[in-house]
Amino acid sequence: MSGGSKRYLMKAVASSVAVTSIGVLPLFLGRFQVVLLTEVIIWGVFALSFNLIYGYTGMLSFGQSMFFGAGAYILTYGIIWEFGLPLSLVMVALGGALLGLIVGAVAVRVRGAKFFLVTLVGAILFHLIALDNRWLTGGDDGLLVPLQFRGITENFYLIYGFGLFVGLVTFAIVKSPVGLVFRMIKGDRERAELLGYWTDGYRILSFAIGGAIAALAGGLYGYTTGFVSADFFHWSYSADAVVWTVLGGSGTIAGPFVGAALLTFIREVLSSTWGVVYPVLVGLLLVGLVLGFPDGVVGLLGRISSRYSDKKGADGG
Amino acid sequence: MELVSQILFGLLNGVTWGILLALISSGLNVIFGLLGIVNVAHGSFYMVGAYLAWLITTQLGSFWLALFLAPLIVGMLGILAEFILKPVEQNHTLSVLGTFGVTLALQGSALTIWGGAPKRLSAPVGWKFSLFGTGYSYYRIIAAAISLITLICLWFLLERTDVGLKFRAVQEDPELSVAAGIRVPLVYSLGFGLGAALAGLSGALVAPTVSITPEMGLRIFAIVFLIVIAGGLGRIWNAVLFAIVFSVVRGLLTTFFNPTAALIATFVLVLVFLLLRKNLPTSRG
Repeated sequence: MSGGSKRYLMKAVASSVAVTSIGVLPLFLGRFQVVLLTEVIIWGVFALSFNLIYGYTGMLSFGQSMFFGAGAYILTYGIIWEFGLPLSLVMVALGGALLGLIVGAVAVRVRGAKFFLVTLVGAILFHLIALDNRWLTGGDDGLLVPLQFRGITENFYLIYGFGLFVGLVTFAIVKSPVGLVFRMIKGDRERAELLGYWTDGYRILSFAIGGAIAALAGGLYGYTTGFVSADFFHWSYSADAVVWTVLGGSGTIAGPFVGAALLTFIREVLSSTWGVVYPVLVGLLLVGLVLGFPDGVVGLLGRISSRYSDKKGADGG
Repeated sequence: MELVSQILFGLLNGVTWGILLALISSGLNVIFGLLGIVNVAHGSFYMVGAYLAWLITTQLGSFWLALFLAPLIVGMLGILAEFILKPVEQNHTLSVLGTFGVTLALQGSALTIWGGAPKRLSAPVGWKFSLFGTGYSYYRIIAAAISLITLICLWFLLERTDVGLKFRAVQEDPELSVAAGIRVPLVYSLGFGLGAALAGLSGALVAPTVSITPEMGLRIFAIVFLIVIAGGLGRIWNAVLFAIVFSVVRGLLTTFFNPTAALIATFVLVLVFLLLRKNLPTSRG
């Protein structure tokens, strides 16, 4: 067996084991931990949407909160108007994709630092508009999602199955020819352009897919908490997605989930006594990551394991 | 008559606030416009400047001393931040992430030390003059005047001295600058420090007119970044003009709409302007 396919098999086995063990975790956890784990999966899905845009297509966007908030509100109105959950989720995904197309079409017109700025200002604008239109969003006070009572474990498996589905779909996309073009654009946009690819089109497509995923994360978060408010549009959600992805490892499917889990864990360990230093810690962590480990935890693990298997291969040969 | 006086009031407020906004932007203009480093932490330097002004005034009793010390301390903070992030400062993406980390750390520190409740600083110059039936604080005029003088000094430094020449040389061609005997890393350190000091000064100047909170830096950052880019990178007077236009438009819109709607409309106008004016001069990369 060649080294490449062996490593591939190893990765497949490791992912299956990780996914399965998360699936059986609720059997051993208390109610509070199950709720936390549910949230981690939602945050992981949300960060994954950013990862598709940044880690795979190379666009540092601070705009994911627009889709998160929009998804949460579309789901809320879907439930209020009694469309049922499945149809509401379809509407959320379509709405997120449509919004992604529009925002992407505006944002890809500018490059570099200006791109970052345009997405940030877009996020701020959406938040201000949501605050200003209380009749629609309920402003700061928000809206209640009219839900029937569900068990915590039932909700966990809903989110878990859903996270698995989004993870697999994203995996399929990044391994497809389209995903290959995304990564080529990240590596060298001009070369992709010269090879005849309509790079702006692919970048907008990346935004649309990322928008749909982020909207779904927002919708499910609203569905889980039973409450949405204008603050769902706050750009700090975008920033969270950035931090989780960079910590976990950008350009990988597992990275965003690992990052979200690690930081949620750290926040819970710090608890209320030390909770106030959490942002300071995250900030310093980000600086350290940028300087020392730009490919995050998953990238680091990958490097360690490949060094290990290379050594073994060398010994055998 | 009522409307006319409201509009005049909006104009005056727009111009004084606009000049202050121009001073904040000028710091980012040095760091981002001249040196090409994307500095997301600029708003946090401004926030730290405001807190320092409050701290020094309440502890040592002199606002004018604070106005002198705050830029000095924030400038050194800037030099430290630039020193730490030196390896990634030429990479736009990594420097956005790195300086965003600095932002979180500074904002979190302010929250830890001083808490989230807003701090207030009374104006060092108490007098007001009556204007269209309302009192207008002299301090705002003085703050605008100090800003304007600082901007003129900055313009002189950058356009009429060797220091400014070196800044532009480094931006044009770092390798050739090394060959010409310019100590490039030193120029970056000092430039970043200067930019941060300007943010610290503007934070201190603004402190008596606003409520000081840990989030104030992030609130202003997007506006400042927009002004620097829309005005044209490295062009100080363009940015000044743009800052004044921005805040006058916002001030006038506030007379007719609620403040949030006015801010939304101003942001949309700037964004449209930015997207339509495609061939803006950009920095390297």
